[in-house]
Amino acid sequence: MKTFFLISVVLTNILFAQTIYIASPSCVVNSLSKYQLKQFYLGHLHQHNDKKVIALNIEDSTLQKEFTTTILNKTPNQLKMYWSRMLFTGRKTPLDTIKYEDLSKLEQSKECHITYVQEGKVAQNWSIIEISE
Amino acid sequence: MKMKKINSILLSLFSTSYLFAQELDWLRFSGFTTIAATYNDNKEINFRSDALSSKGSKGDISHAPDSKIGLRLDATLHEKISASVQGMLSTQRNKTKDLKLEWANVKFQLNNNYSFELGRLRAPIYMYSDILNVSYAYHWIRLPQEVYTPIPFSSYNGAKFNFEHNGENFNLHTSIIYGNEKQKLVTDPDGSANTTFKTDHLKGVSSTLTSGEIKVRASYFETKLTMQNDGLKTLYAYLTTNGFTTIANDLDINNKKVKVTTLGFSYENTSFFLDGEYIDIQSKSWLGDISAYYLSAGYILDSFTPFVTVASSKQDNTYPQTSTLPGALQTPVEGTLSGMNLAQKSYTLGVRYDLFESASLKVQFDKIKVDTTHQTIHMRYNNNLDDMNVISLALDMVF
Repeated sequence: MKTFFLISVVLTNILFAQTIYIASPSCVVNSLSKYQLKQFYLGHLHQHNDKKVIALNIEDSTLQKEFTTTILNKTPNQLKMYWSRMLFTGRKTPLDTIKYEDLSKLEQSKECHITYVQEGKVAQNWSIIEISE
Repeated sequence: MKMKKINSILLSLFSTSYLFAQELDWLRFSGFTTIAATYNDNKEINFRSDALSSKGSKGDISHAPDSKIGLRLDATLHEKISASVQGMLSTQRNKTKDLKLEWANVKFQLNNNYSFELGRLRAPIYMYSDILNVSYAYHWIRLPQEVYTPIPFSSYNGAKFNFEHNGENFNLHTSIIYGNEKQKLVTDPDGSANTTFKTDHLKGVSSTLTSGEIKVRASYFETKLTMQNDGLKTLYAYLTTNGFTTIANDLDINNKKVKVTTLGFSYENTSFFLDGEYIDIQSKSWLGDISAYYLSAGYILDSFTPFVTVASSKQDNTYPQTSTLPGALQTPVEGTLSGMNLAQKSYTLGVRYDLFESASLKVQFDKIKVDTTHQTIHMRYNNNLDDMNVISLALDMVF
């Protein structure tokens, strides 16, 4: 019974854990629309409030897949094809991926980084970005 | 032997690229490859991928039409200056170079919206021009030949000015180009690279509008084209000697103006894609007018993408004045014109399977119909009018 309860709690957390969008301390990004977020993650947009923004993927395959499907409207394979097209046209290079444990290392950076994390895994000094439709 | 060589180069490159990526932030090394086998059941026609090659499949299995490896080096020299070099090694060349330099240019990023490129560049004629040989980046094994082969060059030496605008719900990318290019085409079955193709003052504009899953594209180019080989020279000389100088000059492609217009669209969501392109080429020479289109649709089912494509090209290179020629001259002239006609139709069925990240396996069947005795893009050995049934298997990778 106890085991069943624990499994239920874990599954509930996995299924209902929300994706949170966060910005590193040097950012002035409080809110973004879903379209702006998509633009950053497809390499079309590089600035917000006249400051350079670097979008990063998080090393969490489940979350990355969900983000790719819901925000970018692409399957992971389509996204890989998209970046291949961009790379070999010399127009854009694929985004870097960061581990959860490395988020704190970017807190000292003067550059503004944004990424997405699982609820409850927000790095200490990063701020939450409000996402509107 | 050549395939083994390509495979060993490929294996060593996978490890090298990883080291490069780790050690040099300002230098990015990447590449693409296709390892393919193609079988054309028609022994009288050499199925090839473009007019620059003579190797292909004619009743046998061949690696030549689709196998290749491409390497690219991007260097960030300054915050606003970058340089790129991209070369491709393929097994299809014969008596021409195996290694083809596709890109070698410097890019100046003037601001977020404007950039300027100088050097060897890709001509943005088609929707997939920039990734012409990166088969991993599109659904098919090869781009529809009816549309993509009438223009036998893909790169040029010159300049390109780019404008990119990100609107509320759309992206607009426009390029304006100027330059020139010279190639040797294989236009006879023995594989001789005997036709010189030279395009001077190539200039034009291409514009792509993307909004959500929809992309529309249009482009227009003009150039002064020169296309010569010994056979054509003999024919023009023969006409001139016999007093038909006007006809000889009209037919001769010597610095003749050629106009190219293209239209394209693409729709792709997470479960379906629909692509289409149309090209119209007009010239006042024996090339005449060429028009071609393709439509392709596919269903995206997780890692599988089955697709179907219909493509057609026609070339109106009849020249009314040839009817005024005496029989002894009319026959070789009209024979030359019809022999150089590129028209064909094809029906394609295929499936792409994404093996793992950066690799896909594709199988494709093409039924290619040629309805007159002309040559098409493929090399005809006799006046064989049978269809070509082509089956191809390819493994595409990017690294």
